[in-house]
Amino acid sequence: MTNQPENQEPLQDETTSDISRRELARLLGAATALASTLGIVFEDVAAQVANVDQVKANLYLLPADGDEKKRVLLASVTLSPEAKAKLMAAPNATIQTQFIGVKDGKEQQLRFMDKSKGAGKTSAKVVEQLKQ
Amino acid sequence: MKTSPLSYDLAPESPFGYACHRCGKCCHHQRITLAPYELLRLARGLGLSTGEFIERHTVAGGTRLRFDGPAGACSLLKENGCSAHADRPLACRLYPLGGRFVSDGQARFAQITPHPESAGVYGDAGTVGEFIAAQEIAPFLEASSRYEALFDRLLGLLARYLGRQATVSTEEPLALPLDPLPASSWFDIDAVLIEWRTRRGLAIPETLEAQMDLHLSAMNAWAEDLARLLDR
Repeated sequence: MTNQPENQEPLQDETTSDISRRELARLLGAATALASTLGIVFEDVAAQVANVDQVKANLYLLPADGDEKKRVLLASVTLSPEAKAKLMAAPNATIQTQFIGVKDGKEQQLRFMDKSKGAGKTSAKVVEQLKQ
Repeated sequence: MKTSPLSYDLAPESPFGYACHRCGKCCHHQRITLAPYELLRLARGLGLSTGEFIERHTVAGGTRLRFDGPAGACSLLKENGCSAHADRPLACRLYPLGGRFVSDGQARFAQITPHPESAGVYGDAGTVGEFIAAQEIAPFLEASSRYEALFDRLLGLLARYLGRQATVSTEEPLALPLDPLPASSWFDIDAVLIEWRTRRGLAIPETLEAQMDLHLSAMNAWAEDLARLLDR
């Protein structure tokens, strides 16, 4: 059973086995209406980075329950002005974190590796009155 | 990227004070958006269905208050002031501040230029936080958070759909009514609730919070249906 009202067109496009265009338009309409009325704005990394003097990358150890309040700072790296400029120039790039072990002067990638989306988007609710 | 013309340089502890004398000057020529909770609350406060409220007091499918009164007044402004003051939207509560509530819980505020003839009186005896606390905005922010979660879900569905489209060759281009974007039928909350409950043979709850819960349930169930289709 679907949650679609009976008097409406089917969710599924009969010809393509996909979401019907009507539902896609409805999805767009709902997302757009929510975004505009909740005041959700997207700020890309480039814009955020441009407004700060320095960019630091913090590495945290999270406890087993994932509670960020109990995280432990392992290291903090301050990006050079050149690295900051590169970050601004590639707002949609992915930042990869690698853990490298060094033994007898030789580097070896450790097994745990995490990829984190660098550019991502930060949402914020902005409520303000604007002149029409 | 959308950029705000306001400078959000006030923190909750910043000195601030404002006494509104209900002159109504600020209630003209504004752009006040209405989130679902605000729409539902205003409609209930006026004893209207959401459909009736949308029809009488909003534009853009219920997403913005209508300013079509004398000299561009809000349609809710009457001779003796706001006819929905107890249920006024978040933007009206924050006025003359704009609020920026980032996902990490931090809040920053900006001063909005008041109407030149406003009778409101500014001061600095209190703080921004004290002014905000008096506006009872907690239910608005809580409701926003819940609808934001739904928004994230819908955005995820769109991303999945569009990602799949990018890999599928189709002779017929995707024709969507993007200009103007379609108004959302989901914003007529009462219509959604009636349909949702009718199909399940249940009564519509009485409290505003329960009605919002149900509205979110209906939208989330719809999103689940769409997700199942995308999983195929």
